[in-house]
Amino acid sequence: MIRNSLLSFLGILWASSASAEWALNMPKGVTELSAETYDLHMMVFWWCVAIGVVVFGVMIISLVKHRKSQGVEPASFSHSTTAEVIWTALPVVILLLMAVPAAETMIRLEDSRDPDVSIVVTAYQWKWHYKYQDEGVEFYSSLNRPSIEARTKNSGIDPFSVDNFLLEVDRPLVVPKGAKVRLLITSNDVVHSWWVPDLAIKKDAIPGIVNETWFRAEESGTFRGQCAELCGKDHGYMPVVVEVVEPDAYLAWAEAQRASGERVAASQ
Amino acid sequence: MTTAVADAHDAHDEHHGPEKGIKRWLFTTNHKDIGTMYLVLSLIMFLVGGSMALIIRTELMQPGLQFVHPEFFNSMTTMHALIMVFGAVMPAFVGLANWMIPMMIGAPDMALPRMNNWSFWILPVAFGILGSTLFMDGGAPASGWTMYPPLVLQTGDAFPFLIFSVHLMGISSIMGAINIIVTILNMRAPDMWLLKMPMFVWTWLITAYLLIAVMPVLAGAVTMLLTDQFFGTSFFLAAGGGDPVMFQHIFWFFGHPEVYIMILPAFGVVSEIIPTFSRKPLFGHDSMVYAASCIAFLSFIVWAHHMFTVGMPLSGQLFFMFATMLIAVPTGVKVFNWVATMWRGAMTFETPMLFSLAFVFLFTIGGFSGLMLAIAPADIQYHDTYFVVAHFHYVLVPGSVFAIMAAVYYWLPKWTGHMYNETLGKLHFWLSTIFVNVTFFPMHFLGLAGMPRRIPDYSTQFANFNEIASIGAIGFGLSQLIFVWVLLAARRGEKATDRVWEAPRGLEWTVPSPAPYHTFDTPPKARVAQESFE
Amino acid sequence: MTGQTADRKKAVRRTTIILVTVAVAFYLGFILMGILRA
Repeated sequence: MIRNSLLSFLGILWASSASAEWALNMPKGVTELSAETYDLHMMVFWWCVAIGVVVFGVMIISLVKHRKSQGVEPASFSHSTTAEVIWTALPVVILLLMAVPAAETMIRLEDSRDPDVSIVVTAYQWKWHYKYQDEGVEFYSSLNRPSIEARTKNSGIDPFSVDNFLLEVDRPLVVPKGAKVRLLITSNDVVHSWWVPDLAIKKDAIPGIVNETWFRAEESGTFRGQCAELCGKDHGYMPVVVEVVEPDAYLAWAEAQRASGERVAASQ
Repeated sequence: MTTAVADAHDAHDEHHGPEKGIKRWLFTTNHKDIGTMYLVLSLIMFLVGGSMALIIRTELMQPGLQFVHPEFFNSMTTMHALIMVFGAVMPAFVGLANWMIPMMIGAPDMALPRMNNWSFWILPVAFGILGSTLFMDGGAPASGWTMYPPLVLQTGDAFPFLIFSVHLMGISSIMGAINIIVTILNMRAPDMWLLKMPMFVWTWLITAYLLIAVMPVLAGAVTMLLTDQFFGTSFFLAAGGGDPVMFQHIFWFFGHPEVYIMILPAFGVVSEIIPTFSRKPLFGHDSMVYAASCIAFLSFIVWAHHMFTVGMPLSGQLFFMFATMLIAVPTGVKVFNWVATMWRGAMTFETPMLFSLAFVFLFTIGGFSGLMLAIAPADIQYHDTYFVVAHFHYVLVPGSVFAIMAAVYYWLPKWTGHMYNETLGKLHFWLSTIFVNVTFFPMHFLGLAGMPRRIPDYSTQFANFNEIASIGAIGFGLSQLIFVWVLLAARRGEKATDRVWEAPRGLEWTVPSPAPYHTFDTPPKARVAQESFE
Repeated sequence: MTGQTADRKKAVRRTTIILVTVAVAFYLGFILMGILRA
């Protein structure tokens, strides 16, 4: 029992020291599809490693053994139809093995039918606008104050002292856990792109076009992303923040948004 | 020897030596002079584009904005790419083509020597215009080299100059490509049928076809940008019924073949060098020709893999994913053939060989990240991140640029008659290889961790790898000064023999070093048989 | 260059004209596509 506690303690210590600063890989994310995307990525990666080990292995052996300084006589062969056939056919087979699961995931990604929540996302230079279709809630979401102050050239403020520097907004997108959320994405000016790595979705925001995408977050939490299409001088300063909360918390939040919105309208 | 004799006997032959002074260079129609000018321009542009990269990497060394404003940063990324693509890589390969193709096929010069002069001289004008935009109201273009509308239409006074400059570069490339095809198809020595040509000539023949097909498409795209901005059209403006995505389709229809334009001649160079230093013929010469042709053909049907997040229908995503994955097959064939060339050869590791071997290793790594990018669902996470930046820098820097450097080290003794300093060459190689990896390998991690492209500042979790990459960039940049030194010092180097290397194959090694101003005024007959690879 | 035969000059001219036509066709073709699309 003591041993188990000790091991868990060491485990936590180890995990927290595996800090984000040295992150080598993409996140598994919090949706079924983000996990599938991650798995696809890892599968292709391992295939590349395997092929690399073979090809580079042969190269290294050759570089070591087939040197003039070792006194070898060069061979004179210059072709082999058999070899060409094999190393054309084998890669095709490997590609097929990758293409099938990739196609399956792609098909699932595009299926945005029967959403529970629909939100219109409009990109601006340089902030996001969210409008919940059925909640009567809409607002702008911009980089938050501490980041704005720290980001200016020679601001004197250490970015390391700002929480979630460049990745925090004044009003995040709030969505319910477990619900299928559909996003209708467009732009008011130039091309932008809405991206949250933990949700594994990235969709361009294009003026004159409405792009559709969806996600179903299986865990609650705060998930951060950034604009992913060069959109002018503050392209790096319009982050995306999604807060996934329990369904009742979401309904309460929506109610509060409406209430404060009515109060604002009434006071004008 | 044969050339000199032919000169003396040919009554119509009135070759003087080259002109003196600046008039020589302004009016030359000699493929060697023009080749030299392209290469010198390319080196200068490489250093200019490289300085812009250093500005970028200096700003990105630490989080927070220390040195430049975001608008200027965006101009730097834009200009860095335009200059490297159109000013460094492409002119370098055209310069190599000009120098080597006539000699390799036993022709006296290019088919259209006067157009050749114009092809070159348009470029300094184009880059002068592009460079001048740095001083204009609104600054240099800052839309990325991809010039997507509507953003590019927010460019200030620089806009029409950007368009004009791109048109000029395009015209130069088209004229150069026409010249290369006409030369190769009509001026080969008798006995040199197509499949007997060296790989460098083959890859350039294929590249030239790509250029003629796609440079006009780029010209069309930027013409439409110009009319949208100034002449009331709405090709890409949603408000007028136009479609911003159509620009992306047209641009990438050019853009994807463009990247193969930048790599195919590199394949050709490496296919010349590895056999020489393995003392063994290129493995699968015909197969290499077919593979290159396959790559060129496929390059026309994959363009939308640059647009997987644009909102394409599912069928489009699937088609472009499959077609893109397919390119891995002929590319892999080429890598295997290079390795098979080395296998059971008797290798030595002079500088051209070192750069070529590094090419095979590191271009393959770039190919692996390319394969990963082809997987459309995964690309949703990679697109517009530093993962893409890592991929294309691997295929362009230890890819194209290393091949160009390999070619320069390989053929410099033929051009100048002097050997370069081998110790310095090796030093240049090792430092470049180490620093290129220090610079670009961490970018894979940055992209996977979530860092987008084209941002002047970033969240603090990206700091460590950015710092490493920036240190690598500074090291790589400084290492190129060794290259410049090597080139300048080669004028005083050891005298080179005709063959230069132990046993290279090809007609270029049958003429003296330095190559005479005019070579192959009479076509070589018997020598073609000796130098061929059958 | 000296020594260019008349035949070769004709062949060069023919190839050049074909290639220029291809280039112009691609240029106009893509612009036309833009016009028709809009």
